[in-house]
Amino acid sequence: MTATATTSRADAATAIVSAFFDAYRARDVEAMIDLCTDNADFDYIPFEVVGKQRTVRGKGKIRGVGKAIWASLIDAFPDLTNEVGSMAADDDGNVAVEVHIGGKQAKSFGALPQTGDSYWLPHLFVFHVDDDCLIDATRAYWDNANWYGQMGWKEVG
Amino acid sequence: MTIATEFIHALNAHDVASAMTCCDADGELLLPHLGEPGTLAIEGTEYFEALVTAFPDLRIKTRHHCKMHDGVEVAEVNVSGTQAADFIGIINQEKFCDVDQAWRFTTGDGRITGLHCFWDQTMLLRRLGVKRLDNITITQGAAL
Repeated sequence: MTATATTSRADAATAIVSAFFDAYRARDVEAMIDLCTDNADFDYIPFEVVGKQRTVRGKGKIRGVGKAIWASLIDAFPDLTNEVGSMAADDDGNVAVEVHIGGKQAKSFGALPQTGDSYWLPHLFVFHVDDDCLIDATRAYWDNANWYGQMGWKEVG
Repeated sequence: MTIATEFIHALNAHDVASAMTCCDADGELLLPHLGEPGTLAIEGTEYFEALVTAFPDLRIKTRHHCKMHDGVEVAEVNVSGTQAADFIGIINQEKFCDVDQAWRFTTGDGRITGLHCFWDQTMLLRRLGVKRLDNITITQGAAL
């Protein structure tokens, strides 16, 4: 991992985000959430499940939709893990993280039927850490085509 | 204006040549659909020329930008436009699409030395009417 923080604010924000990915690697959703404010915003940009009546998006609050997505992802991929590649921070509490996340599927998840296949997928997370050293927003980006391709799923969704 | 915002400004003007003057030729480029890393000079020029050609009304709106320490910049952008020509193998159905993306720049000596782009290719394909990943030229319209 390349840590790039050079100020106390950036150092503190980087430490919190590192702890977040440590907790994620331990599949400890409660510990992940303990690092966030009560009202923290959550936006998983590519999370878009297109249904006949409506499209469900991964946008809301960390303690609501975020917790539900993380719990169901860990349930579907019981050995889910991550490897942080690079982390960069500024003096305003923003932290950008390039991280690979993956695991072996045990249950269906979203549009993905149960296949038993594994995936390993690059992500970019952008966090904001507040003055009290808690995460108050996260947004994440990844490519579902890459993910679906690794899982043998050919539908666009 | 940072070097990353200068790059985005040039792309918004559909001026790929000017955008590329912001970049180190050997700088690494990661795009979701490429699979393997390319270079800003070769694959970057090719991709962005294809983008501005296929979407003549292309607009890149920056939703959030931050300049980190050690020369890292992150721009979260919305890329939108109406398809007017085939694009990276996707046949033209004249559909409008917009996709939220994150671009992570590494910079040094006033130049962009690397660009990692993150977006969901299935979202792009869906917006452009593609149904299956294993044959992106078979479209919803053609399947009806």
